Amino acid sequence: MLDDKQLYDLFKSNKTEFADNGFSERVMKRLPKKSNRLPEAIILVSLVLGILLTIWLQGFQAIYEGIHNLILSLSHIQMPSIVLLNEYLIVLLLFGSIGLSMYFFKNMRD
Amino acid sequence: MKNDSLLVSRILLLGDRNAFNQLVKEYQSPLRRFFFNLTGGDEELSKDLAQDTFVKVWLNMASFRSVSTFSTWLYRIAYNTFYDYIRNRKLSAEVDVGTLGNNLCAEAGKDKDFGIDFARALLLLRAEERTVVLLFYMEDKTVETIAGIMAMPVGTVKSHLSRGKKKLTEYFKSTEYDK
Repeated sequence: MLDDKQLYDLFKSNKTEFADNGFSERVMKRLPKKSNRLPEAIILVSLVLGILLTIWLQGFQAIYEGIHNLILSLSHIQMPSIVLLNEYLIVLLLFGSIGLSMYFFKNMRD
Repeated sequence: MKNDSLLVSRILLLGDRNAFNQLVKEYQSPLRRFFFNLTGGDEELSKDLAQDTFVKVWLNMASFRSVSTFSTWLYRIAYNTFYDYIRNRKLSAEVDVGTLGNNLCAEAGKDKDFGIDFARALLLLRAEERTVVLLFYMEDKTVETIAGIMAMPVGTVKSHLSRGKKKLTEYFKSTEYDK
C-alpha cells in the first residue's frame, strides 16, 4: 500500500498553481456596489464633532501651542516640555483622528 | 492566518474592498485548484465556481464567526458551491472518465501522461472521498478541519480518507507507480 509520504509526494507533484491573470479583478467587478453609507456618515460626523469639541474645550491658543511644540520637538528630535505635554497630546490625537479618517475614506473610494 | 484576521476585520468593520481583494489574490489559486481537481480538470468551470464562491463570501461576510479560521469557512462555502452547482444541473457528483479526455492539464511542461493518470485515479473515488483526499493531501488540511468544511463527523472523514487511500493505492499498483 502506498504510504502517506508517497501519497503526499504524489499530490504535491500534481499540485497546480494558477496565475491570477485578471481573475481577482473580475471577481471584484462582480461584487455589488456599495449601498451602505452609514459607517462613513458616522465617522465623518464623529470627526467633525471631535474637532469642534476640542476647539471649544481647549481653545485655539492651546492647539496653536501644541502644533508649535510638535514642530519644534520634531525638528530638534527631542521630547517636548512636560508643562505643555497636555497640548502636545491633544494635537497628536487630533492629527491622528484626521489621518485615520482620511485613510478610511481613501479605502472607501477605492 | 494572522494576516487573514486583520483583513477580515477591515472588511467587517469598514467594508474595505482592498482588503477583500487581497484575500481573493491570496486564495484564488488554491481555490481554483480545489475545483479543478473536483471537476476532473475543467479549468473554465473551476474558474466560474471559484468566482461564485468569492462573491458568496463577500455577501455573507457578516455571518463569518471566528469559531473557525477564514480558510476553513472559505472552503466550506466552496464545497457547498460545488454541490449547489451539481444539484442545479441535476448532475451526478461523480465526474465520468469521458470528461477527462476533454480536459487538459493547466500547467505546460507537466508530464501529461502522469497528470492524466493522477486525474484518472481521482475519478475512481467517490465525490466525498475525492474531496477528503484533496483537502488532506494536497491542501494540507487536518481531519478535524475537513470535518468542519464538509460538516461531517471526524470518523466519517477518516473512513472516506481510508477508502480513498486504498483505492488510490490499488490503482497506482496496477499502473506500477509503487515501484
